[in-house]
Amino acid sequence: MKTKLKCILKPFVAVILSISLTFSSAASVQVNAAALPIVYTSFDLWVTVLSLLGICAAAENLDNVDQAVEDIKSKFKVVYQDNHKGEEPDDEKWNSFLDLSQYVGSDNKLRIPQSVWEEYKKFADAITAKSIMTPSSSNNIYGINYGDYVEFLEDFLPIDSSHSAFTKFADRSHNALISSNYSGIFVRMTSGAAINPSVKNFYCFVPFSDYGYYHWNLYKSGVMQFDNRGSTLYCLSVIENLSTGACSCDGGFNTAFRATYGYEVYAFVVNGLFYNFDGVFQKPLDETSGNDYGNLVYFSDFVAPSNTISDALSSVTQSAANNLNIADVFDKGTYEIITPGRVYDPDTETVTGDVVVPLPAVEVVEQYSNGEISWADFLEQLQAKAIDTSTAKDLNTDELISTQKGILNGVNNIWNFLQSLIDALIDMLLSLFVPSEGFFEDWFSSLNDFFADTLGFLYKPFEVLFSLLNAMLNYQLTEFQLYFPGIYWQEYELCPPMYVDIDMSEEIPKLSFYMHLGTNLVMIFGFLMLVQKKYEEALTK
Amino acid sequence: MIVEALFNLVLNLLEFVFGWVSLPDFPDSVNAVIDEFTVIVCDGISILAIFVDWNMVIILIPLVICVVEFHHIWQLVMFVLRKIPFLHIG
Repeated sequence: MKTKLKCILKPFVAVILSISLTFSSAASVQVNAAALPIVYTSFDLWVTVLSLLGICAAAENLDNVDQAVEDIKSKFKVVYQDNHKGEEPDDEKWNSFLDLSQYVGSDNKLRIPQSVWEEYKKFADAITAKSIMTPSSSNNIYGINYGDYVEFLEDFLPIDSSHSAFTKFADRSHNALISSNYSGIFVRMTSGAAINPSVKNFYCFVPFSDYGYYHWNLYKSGVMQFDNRGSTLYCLSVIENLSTGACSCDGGFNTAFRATYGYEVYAFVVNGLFYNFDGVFQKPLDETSGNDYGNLVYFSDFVAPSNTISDALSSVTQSAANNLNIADVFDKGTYEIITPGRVYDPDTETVTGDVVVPLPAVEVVEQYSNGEISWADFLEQLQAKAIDTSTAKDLNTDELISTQKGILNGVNNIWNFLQSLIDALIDMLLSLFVPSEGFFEDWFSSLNDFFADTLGFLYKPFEVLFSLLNAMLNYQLTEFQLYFPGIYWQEYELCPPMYVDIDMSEEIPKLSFYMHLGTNLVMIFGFLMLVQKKYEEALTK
Repeated sequence: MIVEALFNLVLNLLEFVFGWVSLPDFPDSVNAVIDEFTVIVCDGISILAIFVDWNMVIILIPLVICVVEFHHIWQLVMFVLRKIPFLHIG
């Protein structure tokens, strides 16, 4: 009874509080919308909020790492369900993605077993199809850095009996360079790259593949994407600031990346110049020392280089880059140089777009999947987001977030207080008029005991009656035993006491069903006749 | 709380009124026979459950009581209603 009354009263209270909460939420959302003239104005409100959180997650300190993780998890879930007939990915499955440390060997290298490539591929697809990842560049957020998710190539046939690998370098800033540490079927990423996402030059690192396809999103550098075996490499704005001889992405050398031997280079941007050519990066000479990265870069058309350019990419200066005579190097390659201010679309092989803008460190979540957008549009959106993001940062996002959190916390506190207050009031009113549970049982039991003690034999018929009523209420149509007392005459036993067991398991329940049906009909019919009789009596008398 | 207090008051009142009464129980031999009889009847109720749906009986019993004693229930209700002045029930 008490519970039912609570159920009746609570909705009214909830409605009132919901209205107040709605107004409060609306107010907080207004703060959000006003504070962030970012993109997505046509998106629903919740998308805007999520975008805000996404930007927060993308900020360098990753204040909302959890939110970012949840965001990615939800995307992963969508893709996972698409590939598993709607099956939910369990925690174990998900955690396996987060915990790459299990694949880090004693040699401090990460080896992803082939058995899990498929799952990692799906995850990588989810990432690639849905978003651009922006892990922290400085925080140790192992397991959240999307650069940790490595999808490797079942179909990767190394040109020279090798696999690409990510070798650990002594200098952390050089970690995750593609090197040439080949061994068997495993592809490696250094534990440094896997565990420590402070490698700024790989701010976002999402390698994935069907056919050796990788997608890198570099910190403060733009997008680099390169495929193996007949695919392409896009390296946009990576090697900017060549005049200083340093790559802006990590403050280190501009040879912060290197493709393994056999990678076809499709396009390249050097300080605003977009170079498009066919070519091959040669593997480094020393695959273990890590000191010779980028010292040799060969460009050719799937032909083992016989000539080298004299300058290592690391030492290519602005002048050298601008004066790079590609034609001299790429005898067999096709190339195109796009002047600054224009963007080359490799899909259509046309030059489109307006301005090649170095991309910022912070990028927000993408909303489209593969094939939904052209490369040029993709770049434009990235650039737009870059501008929007920088605008958002100017508005002091952190402060706004803390304000918003404060408002939400205040609303939550008010809500909790009102809820507890109303619950207490309802409980008090109910306790006034509704007896506590079990009260009547205790009361009748006390009354029964009292009369049994005081009335003695006079109360015996009532006890028998109560026993019969209890037998009626608690009967069970399963199995029971009939007792026939013995018959004695003087010292002679004429008939011993007998027990007859009746098995109710098979036929009797079926019989009982039809018997109940018949007797119920008779009883109901008799009751209706009684009602009719009383009705007539009431009318006539 | 109020309802509980009223019921407890009734119980205390009964205890106060009948507290001095202390009638003896049946002798044990008589009680034994009655108990044995009760057990047999209860077993009989279980046998009857094969033919009669006691759940239906339990539902119908209060309804039958209400219908049979409808006259008295009516009188009781009218007695209460007549106590309410503004209803003007004579």
